[in-house]
Amino acid sequence: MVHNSAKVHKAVIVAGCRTPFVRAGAELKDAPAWLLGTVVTRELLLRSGIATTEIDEVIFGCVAQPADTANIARVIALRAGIAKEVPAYTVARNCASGLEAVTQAAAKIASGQAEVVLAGGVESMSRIPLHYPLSFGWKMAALSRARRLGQRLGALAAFRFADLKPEIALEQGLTDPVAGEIMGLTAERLVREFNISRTQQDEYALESHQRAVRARAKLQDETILVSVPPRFQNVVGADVGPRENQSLEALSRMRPYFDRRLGTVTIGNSCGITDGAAALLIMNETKALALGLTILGRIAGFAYRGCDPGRMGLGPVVATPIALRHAGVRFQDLRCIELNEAFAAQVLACRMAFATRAHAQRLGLDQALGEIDPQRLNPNGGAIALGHPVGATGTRLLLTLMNELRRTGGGFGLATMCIGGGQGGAVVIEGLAA
Amino acid sequence: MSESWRVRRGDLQAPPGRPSEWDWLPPARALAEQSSSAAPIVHVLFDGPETVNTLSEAVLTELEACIALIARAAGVQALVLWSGKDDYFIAGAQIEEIEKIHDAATGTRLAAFGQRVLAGLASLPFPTFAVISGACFGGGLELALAMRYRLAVDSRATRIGLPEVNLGIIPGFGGTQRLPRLVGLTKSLSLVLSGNRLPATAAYRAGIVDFVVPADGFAVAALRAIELVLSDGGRIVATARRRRQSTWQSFVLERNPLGRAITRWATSRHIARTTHGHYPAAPAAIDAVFRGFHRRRGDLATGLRSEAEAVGPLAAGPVSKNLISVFRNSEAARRLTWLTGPREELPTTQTVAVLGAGVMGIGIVRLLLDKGYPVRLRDIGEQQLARGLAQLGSGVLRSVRGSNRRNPRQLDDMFSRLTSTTKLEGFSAVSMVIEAIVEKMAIKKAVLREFENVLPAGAIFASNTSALSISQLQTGAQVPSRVVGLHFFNPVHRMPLVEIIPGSQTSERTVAITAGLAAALGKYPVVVKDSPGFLVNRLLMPYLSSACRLLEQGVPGPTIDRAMEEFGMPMGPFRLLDEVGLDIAVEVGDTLFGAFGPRAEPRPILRQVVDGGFLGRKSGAGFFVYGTHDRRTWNPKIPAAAQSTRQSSSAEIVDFLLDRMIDEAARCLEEDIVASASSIDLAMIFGTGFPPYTGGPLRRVDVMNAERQSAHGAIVERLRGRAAGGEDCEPSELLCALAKTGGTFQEVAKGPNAQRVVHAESEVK
Repeated sequence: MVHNSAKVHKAVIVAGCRTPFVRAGAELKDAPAWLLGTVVTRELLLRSGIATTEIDEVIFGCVAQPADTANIARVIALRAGIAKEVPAYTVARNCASGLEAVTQAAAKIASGQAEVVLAGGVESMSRIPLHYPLSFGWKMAALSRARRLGQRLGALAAFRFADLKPEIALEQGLTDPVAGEIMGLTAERLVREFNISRTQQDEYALESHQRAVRARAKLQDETILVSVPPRFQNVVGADVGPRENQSLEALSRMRPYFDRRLGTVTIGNSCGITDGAAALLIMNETKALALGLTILGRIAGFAYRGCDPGRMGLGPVVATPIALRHAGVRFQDLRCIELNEAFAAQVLACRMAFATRAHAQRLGLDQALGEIDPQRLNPNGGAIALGHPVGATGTRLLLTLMNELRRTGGGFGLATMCIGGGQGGAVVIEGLAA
Repeated sequence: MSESWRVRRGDLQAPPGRPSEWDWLPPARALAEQSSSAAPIVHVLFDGPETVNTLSEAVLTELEACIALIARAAGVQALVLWSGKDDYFIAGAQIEEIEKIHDAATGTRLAAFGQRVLAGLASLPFPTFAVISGACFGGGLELALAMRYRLAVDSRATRIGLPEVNLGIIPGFGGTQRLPRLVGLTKSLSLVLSGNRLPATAAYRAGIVDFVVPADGFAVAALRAIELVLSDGGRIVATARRRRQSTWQSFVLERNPLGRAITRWATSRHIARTTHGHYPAAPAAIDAVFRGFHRRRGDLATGLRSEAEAVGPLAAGPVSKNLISVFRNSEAARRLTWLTGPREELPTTQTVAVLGAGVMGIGIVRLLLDKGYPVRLRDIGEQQLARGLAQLGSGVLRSVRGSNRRNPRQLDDMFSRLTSTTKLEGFSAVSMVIEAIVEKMAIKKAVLREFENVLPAGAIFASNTSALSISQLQTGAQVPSRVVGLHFFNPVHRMPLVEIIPGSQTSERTVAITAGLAAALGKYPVVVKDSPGFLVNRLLMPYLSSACRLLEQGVPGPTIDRAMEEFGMPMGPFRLLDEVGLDIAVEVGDTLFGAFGPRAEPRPILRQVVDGGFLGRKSGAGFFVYGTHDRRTWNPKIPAAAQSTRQSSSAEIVDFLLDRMIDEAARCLEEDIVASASSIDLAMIFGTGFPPYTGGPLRRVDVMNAERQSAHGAIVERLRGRAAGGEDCEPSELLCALAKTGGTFQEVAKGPNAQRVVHAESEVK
């Protein structure tokens, strides 16, 4: 399986699918992350029809790895019936974990370290736990060590109500520990610096819903049926986020969530907290042809780049030029761009930063890349409508992008996303016309 | 001379490898050459020449000699018994020897001999240990019980129990005496009467074994446990045993005369209600257990004697012979002895697709998941899928509630193998498709055509049809040879029979793989020729029809049902019709009427009831009206005969219903629908719950024929009588021929299907 490392192999995508994305706390709340990953992996293997022994590596991205499934990729691989000899590991790059899984696959294939990689992303944001403060645990330990009555009473007396106040891991995960800001506040910063109005944001959010509603049939091509055992209370066959009756009026009525007095970023113009999983089967091109599989897309190039954590939303602007250079593709050749909608404000800010020289230079770029045609940007809606299961979205963007390129006659496309902690990730792929 | 038993002297260090790979010597040589004080432990290996360890008379004789040698050897501190087989400790006494017992005295003598050998083992003056790895049944467990300590290996193969009642006898080597002394009255009664086979951990909880040792590297762990026991004189085991035995139940129900009387009364009543007195082994077992339990510890001898005396007549009796015949037929069916080619087993890494999320489809999904297969479920509608999946979930959850058979991890493992879809996608790697969609030929053909385009080359397409012709289904298919019938019975997870129906173009390989899958699913496959009603439904129809006829003649329905239930059917004919659904019964009846003509004409009363809007249990009322809590009363709206034209005894009712069934079975033999009478007996027992003590509908007649001449002739006469009264039931040629020659169904010459014979004889040799 290890090939001459001097040669660069082309990584191609031969199959992909995902679960429907479902608002946290709803239909998929009883599905642990490993289960979402397992059904999507089983489905992917059944659709591709390959023997699991052909796989060289399984990589899954996951941000909030549940404590009961350390290295969740391995749990998914084994539960999905992949041969035990196939290794598996989990990657984390915050919101781009699902993108990172795929680019690691591409890198392994390019270097000849692997021929077949199953890569994906998974997140159950419904099931991110609440924690007791550590002080609670320490005081419990002290109590259990206490032997004599006096010691016990002393240990009991040390407890305070504050020791029982839960820490919300979800909120902690969405907060940049270095800047000390929750993601929404970084979006508010962009709102001020790019002078984006509340209406502009709401209009963008509405457009995301409308596009996703229009694209329902297209999106259903990439989703699978999920029903959660052991009760199987319902069968989820489509994304539940997109709202037909979403209106500007409804959006404008929502209160700002992060900066309640002066802010403009609301739940309505931000991405939702969501459960979901996605996976792609990625191969060395020669191998795919040898197995007689249809090549759906090629991974042309990718890049990650850091930026100011307080302006993490601009990550796509710094990562994209490098990815394009790596791929040897010009900006104007991109037929479709998937730019993850963490916040409407952040997408709008990116658009301006892509187009204006002054903004580009402030980010350390020589020149602006150019205007993004709004019609080519997130044509099937984005995370504002569909939701953003953080570990899975990166893979989902590539899947949706590839299918869109295939439907529209092929060509190059870009999937890019901002990453909490101040990074951008960008992947250029070529879709092959169906 | 000893072939089955080997010995080595050693210490508590395990040599590398499995016990069968250690150095062993014949007992005499080992004990002569290896007598040294440095080797205080005598290890004994049971590794008979057959693939399975069983206790035949010869093996027991060898064991007795071996024990005598060990008893005389110097410096022995403990004996450890191992098995040389991976999957078997000791599977019990040899069935062939039980089968050959034709008089009570022989049975009693054999039991007493076994008891004597085990008494020798029990009286060894040093601690003895049985390391139970694999199946440990009947005589095997009794042998282990005669030792001082038992260790069970925690592997899938390890099962421990006393299944003798299933063969119509009771444990005869001291099981009914030593087990109650070890685990108490209620637990031993439940084990002896149910014949349940416990895994290692359950056997530990029940108090049968003293240690559970992990499977991988079990020899090392077992020897460590033995060292522990030897070092503290067994106190560790004694304490644990006492803790498990001293429950409040045992104080209330076992440790005082009143409690024992109540236990005995309740157990006997339960047995009488469930067996209707057809299974003499059950009361005999209760009797033996109580007889031993009353006495003081020292007086084992009296209990053993009465046990041996009870075994004799049971072993020589007809019920045991019939049950052994059922067991043999079922083993032959499960082992697919009729296969000409190699046995093919679908590995559990292969995905099986199930089409249709209805009751049958979901039942099949559940069975497949339960046995470790990945399943892809497809239904065209999301709603049907949702309903089916919800049914699957509640069914599985109901079965695990309150039992510790499965932990959440096992449920996770089971359900993570399931994917479902409404699309025609993701079937390119499945090895088998089982369709359970609507019973319409055109639709089934369309689905087959659709799937032929997406299935991989070797995949099999099995149809769970209960009525449609497989030959017709496969006509026009791209690869007709891969189409086969695989008929499960409802409820799928409980009914042990499947009918396998090769169409005219079905390949041998397809049949072999399908039968292999059925066996892997724990079912008993019977190959049936592609003809209307296949086997079971075809034989049920004249039976149910006769019941309706009796009803029309004025015999009350509940009387008929009661007569059949007392005969041993799990439910009477009218309850069965209600369960099946009366509309479905009419439909099946019409199909058979179309195929077989006047003799299969459905009774008018059935249609009248359906027209009255009573469809059976599913509609709340059929022949019976169903209330809450399983309560049912005869439906007053069933049209009654103008006047009761006949009064029938239970025996007459049984004959009236079975005669036509037997005649139809004879026709099936004539037409080569199945390979042999044994197949019919097995199919009716496992497919309809026909009482096993009879050995099956045909064996029952053959046995009656042997007892008092001309049982076949009696049926012919009765049928002719009915034909004279206007019923279309002229007895078949075969039945008439047997009546004339005095032959039996079992001897009927095999037709062209002969190579598929599922026959007892081939197993014995």
